[in-house]
Amino acid sequence: MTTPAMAALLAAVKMDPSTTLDEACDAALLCWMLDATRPWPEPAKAALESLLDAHRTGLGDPAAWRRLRRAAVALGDNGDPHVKALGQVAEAAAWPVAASTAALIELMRAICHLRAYRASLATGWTAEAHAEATATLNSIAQGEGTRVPERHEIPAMFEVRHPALAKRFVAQLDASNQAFSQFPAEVAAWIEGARR
Amino acid sequence: MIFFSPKKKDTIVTASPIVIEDDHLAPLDAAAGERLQMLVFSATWCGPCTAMAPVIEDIARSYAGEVAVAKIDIERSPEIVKAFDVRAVPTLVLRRGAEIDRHVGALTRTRLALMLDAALESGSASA
Repeated sequence: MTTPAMAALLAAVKMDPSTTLDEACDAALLCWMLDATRPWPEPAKAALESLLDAHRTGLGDPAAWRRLRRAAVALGDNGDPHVKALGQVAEAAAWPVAASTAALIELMRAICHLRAYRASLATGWTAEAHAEATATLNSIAQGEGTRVPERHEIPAMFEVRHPALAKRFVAQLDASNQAFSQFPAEVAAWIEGARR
Repeated sequence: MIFFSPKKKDTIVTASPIVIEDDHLAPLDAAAGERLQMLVFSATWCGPCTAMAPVIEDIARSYAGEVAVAKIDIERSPEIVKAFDVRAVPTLVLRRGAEIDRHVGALTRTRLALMLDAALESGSASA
């Protein structure tokens, strides 16, 4: 029987919510999603390995789950944005999947954000470029001492003001958006495979 | 699904969030009894609110004995929004009589559980 967690996920990936899937699919899909976030940097490795083990073995001890959640939160508080994004993945995965509605959908969304971050980074986008783009966009949006522009005018003004940065900004945004929307499609393909 | 509140044995509490559809919190106060209240302010057009909805459902179920959860649509309850000075969605307010804590923006289930645990622990420490 399809669980509430799977039903919520099916709707999110635009699949028929009445699709019938075995309950065992939930843990298998969760482990597959978690595994798909590799490679893990050293600071995140232990917490994510422990979570994967917990789901693979069907860990039942509530105190052990609380310890996993504390470790996940510590990752989420990390100053490194990549570790922080993995921390949000860990936070989403730090609950037993049974009797939960949010388990799968929350994890999928956290991984979408992680993938988007990685895709942006892969275009060569850096924290410095991000800070510069944000400052430029804010300055344009505030009118720079003249007329406050309409929202739709801002991208063109950014291109005029800082063409090279604007081009890189758009490229990283496109890559990020594409990666964000790609993961749900991969999840849907996994589910489709599990149905057969 | 219904549970009995461990603190007030004659109160039957629901495991689903209470939906407030006007400007009155009386249904929440009546259902909450002595439990902590969590008010979830959201809007139908708010993406992060929609994303958080399953998390709220899970938390309402997991903490049913200790926390009464109410979902408040800011467009249907403008007076409550004003009374709680809500300026963005989602906003989560914890109260037991007076306001204990609030968070503006989406939260993971883990962080929300930590926030509730802290409020519940401070409540038992002061009881």
